This record gives sequence, structure tokens and C-alpha cells, in this order.
Amino acid sequence: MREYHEDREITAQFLLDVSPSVDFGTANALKRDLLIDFVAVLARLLTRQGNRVGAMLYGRGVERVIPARGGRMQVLRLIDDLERRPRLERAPETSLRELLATAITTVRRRSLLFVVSDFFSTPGWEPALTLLGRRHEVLAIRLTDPRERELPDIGMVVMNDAETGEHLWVDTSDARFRTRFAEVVRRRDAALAAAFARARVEALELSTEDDLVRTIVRYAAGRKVRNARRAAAGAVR
Amino acid sequence: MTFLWPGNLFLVLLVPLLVAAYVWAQRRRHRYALRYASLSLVREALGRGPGWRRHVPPALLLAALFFMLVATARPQTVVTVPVQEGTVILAIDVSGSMQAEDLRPSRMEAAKAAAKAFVEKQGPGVRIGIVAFTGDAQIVQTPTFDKDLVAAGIDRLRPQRATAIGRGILASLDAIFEGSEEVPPSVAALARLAGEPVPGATPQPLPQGVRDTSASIVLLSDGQNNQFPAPQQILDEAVNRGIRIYTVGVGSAEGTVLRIQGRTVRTRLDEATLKQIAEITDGQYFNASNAEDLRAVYENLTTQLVFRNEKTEVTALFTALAAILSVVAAALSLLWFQRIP
Repeated sequence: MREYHEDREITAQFLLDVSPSVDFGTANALKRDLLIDFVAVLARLLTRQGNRVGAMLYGRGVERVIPARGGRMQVLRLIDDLERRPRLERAPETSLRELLATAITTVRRRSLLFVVSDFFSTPGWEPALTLLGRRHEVLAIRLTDPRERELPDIGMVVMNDAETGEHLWVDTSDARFRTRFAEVVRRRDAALAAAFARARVEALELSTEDDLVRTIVRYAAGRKVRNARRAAAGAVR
Repeated sequence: MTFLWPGNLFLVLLVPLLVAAYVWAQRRRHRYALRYASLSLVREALGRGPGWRRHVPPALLLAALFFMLVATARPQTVVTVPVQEGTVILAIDVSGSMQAEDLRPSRMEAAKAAAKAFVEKQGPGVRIGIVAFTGDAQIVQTPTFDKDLVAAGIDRLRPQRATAIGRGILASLDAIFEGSEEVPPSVAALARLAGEPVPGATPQPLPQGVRDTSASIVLLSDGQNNQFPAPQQILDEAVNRGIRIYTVGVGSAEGTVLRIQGRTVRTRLDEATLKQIAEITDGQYFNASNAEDLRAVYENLTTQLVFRNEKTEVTALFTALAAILSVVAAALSLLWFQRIP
């Protein structure tokens, strides 16, 4: 009796945004911790089945490219690399386009790409994502924090942009400001969802207040349903 | 502006210190700013922020503090204080030379007209008395609120012979202190000049800078004193009682030869003495060489007597200003930022 294993090895690339805006988090962890956990879980899962994983790190710019390789050591090295990275005090505003463009030129084989970022970026990254999505299987992982959704009501505060260092006086108790902020957040959610849809890229939101594994499992289950639905739709057509 | 306790002005140096502290606190606040992933959304929602407005309440508060600190130095300033009530004695020279017709219709008549106009202008709270002096002085009208009586008193004035400015002043003082318990100033002064013991208690000289402004004498003369006592000898009586004497000289110091009822008379205005009287008693001297002048002098006097410039402590004003500023600062802060600075 012969057992056949599907032996098609996948190359997965993590496009990681580790700019200062990711060094923020108010619930259970920083967004960066969430990012590292995500990479650890996924890389371990993938390498266990003999797949190869690599990574690209974006801090002030594309700072490090770790070529794809298999094995447990590769995973450990990757995590170690991420853990060791010092927290950046200042950086120019993140340019996701730069990160995505690097991936377009360097990742030649069809791969599984995880774009892990909070998507706080200078505009103009959407075409690059679309381009990547045509060639590779892309998954956009959006890191969020509840404080980015809703500001605590604590009166006048000075807020400091993690990347540009800009200071802003904000009256968090101002009712008009609060409604406007909620509106802006809603618009941004909608704009991001629309951008992912246009690029035909699957998106997953990871929040610092949620449990990582549970979120991934829920996503995988949903993906199964969506795929089945898509298949069914294809059959009807 | 002067200060009673100028030493306290050094406290004002605290204000720049506080400004520095404020700037430092602002910097510090920036250091303890809330780090936030990306301000792009916040900026979008903010519209125009509090901006310069957040500095307004602290600035107002600092200004308030400045005024409070200045107030501790007890600032004084010269303020025009209306004197609503008091006594004015019009001491009028009725010597023969007043019949001279160099002023139309005559010095006497011009003086009377000007005095009457002056009486008309005084407020209801001013008592006016008339004293006429020639060889002697007499109280023509005791100080009264009744202007008709005063006008009638002025009408009664008739030119006489000699000129006794000193006695005129004493009679005026008597008129002012009439009805008081005190020994009449003229009795006291004459006794003193004669070397006799002064009956009753002499009034203590008033402390420097303090003046009773409630009474003044307006003395009109056109000649030289030629009777006992000399005005300089009895001025203490007025000074000690805090009474100002405003003097009005008619004619000129060079002297003029006048024709009075057919006779030629030479008169000289003793301007120096009149000036001295005014100076010593803190009054003022005016010269009138024609009827318009005379009228103008009395009109001028009206404002002089009714309003006086006085050195007043204005600490209260400063404190009030500081209080208002603090209240406004607090109100704005509450209105804009829901908190008191």
C-alpha cells in the first residue's frame, strides 16, 4: 500500500513593517509583539511541512532581506532577528510602496506573501499591492490597537507621532472632535477594505486585544467557507 | 506713578520667572507626550486645534499676577478728584483804586460781575462767603449755600480807601471758622503778633502733604498792602488750617496812573506778595488786566476748586484689574478646555 503525500513545497515571504508606528499597543501587547507572534506561528506551521520562509523588514526603509529557507533554524533565526531589532525612536513616515516594490523585484517565484503592517503609510502603495497580488498569493495582515479606534476621554493631551515625532495638542474631551475622529476611523476602515478588495488581496485584522491563535483559526475557517462558496459559485457558472 | 512700598516691586521679577517656568512646563509636557501610532487620523479629525487659544488663559493669569504684585507695592497716582462740597471765601479788595475805569465799566464792577458769574457756576454743595477789605476787613456775607444771598452781598460792595490784604485774609479765615468752637483766627493771629499769650489752643500744624481741601479763599486785589498786619505775617494761620488762598491781581506791577472821579491816583499792583501768598498756601496766582481776563480767571478757578488733583493710592484698582483678569482667564479656560488653568 502506497501513501502519496502532496509534496509541493511553498515559499512564503513575510513583508514586515516594523516602523515605529508598529511599536505601539495599549491592550495586551504592542503591535510589534503581535507581529512577531504571528510570524512565529505561521513560520513554524509552514516549515513543519517542509516549506521555506523568508522575510523583508522595513524600519526606516527596507532594512533587511532574509532569503527564504526551510527548517527550524530558519524560524528561530527569523524570530531572533525580529526580537533583537531595537525600537526606533524616529523614522520617516512608512512607505509601504517601497516595501512592496522591493518584493516585486526580488521575489521571483510564485510565493505566499504576508504583508504585515498597520497600513499607516504614505499613500501610493495600492498599485504595488495589486501588482503583487497578480503574481503571488498575498495576505494582508492589518495590525490594529483599540486606541486607534477610540481615544480615551482624558481632556487636553499632547500626542506625539511615533514616527515623525510631531506634537499635537488634542482635546480628547471635545465631543465634536470625538465624533469627527470616529467618522475618520470609519472612513479609513472602509478605504482600506476597498483597497484590499481592489487589489484582490485577502485581508485579516489582528488586534492587540484579541487572541492571535483564535483569530487565525477563525480566519482559516472563514476562508474555507469562502473558498467553498466560491467553488460552488464556479460550479453554477 | 509713585509707590509707597517700592521695595515690593522686586516681586515683579517673579513674572518673567513664571513665564520661563511656563515655557519649561510646555517643553516638559512635550517630553511626556502620549506616543501614538500615527497622528494622521487625529490630525484629520482635529480640524483647527486649540492653537494659540490654549496660551490665552495662562497669559491672562500671568497678567493678573503682574498686577497683583505691582499692587503690593501700593502704587499712587495723581487723580483728579472732584471736590463736591466745601467753603469758598471771595475776598474782594474794595479800596479806592477799584473805582478805576481801565476795566469796563470799572474794576469794581468787573470784579463784581466776574464774582457773580463764579458764584453761579458753583455746585449746590459749595458754601460761599464774601469778605470785603479796605482799611479793615469785614465779613459781608457769612458762608452760605444760598446763592441769592451771596449775589446780594456782592452787590453791596462799595469802594473805600486803604488796602489791608492781611486783614482780608484773617477775616476770610474767621468767616470759614465761624460757628466753630475755635478762637477766631484773627484774634489768635493778632494776639500772637502783639506778643500776648494766645487764647485757646493753637491749631497744630497739619502733617506734611495732608491738606484739608474743603475750604479755600479767592482773594482779589489791585494794590499794595498798606495796613497792619502784613499778609506774610498771618499766612501761618491759613497754612496750619490747610486752607489754600488763590490770589487774583488786577492791574500791573509797573503801576498805572488812574483818574478816579477826576483825581489822579497812582496804584501799583503788589504782584510779588500775591504770588507769595498763593505759593505758601498751595494756591495759585492769576493776573487780570482786563474784564475778559478777570472773567476767565474766575471761570478757571471754578474748575480748580471743584476738581483737585490729588495723590491717591490706586492699589484697589490694580487688585480689581487682577481679579477681573483671573476671572476672565478661568472663564475662558472653562469655556474652551473644561478646566481651570
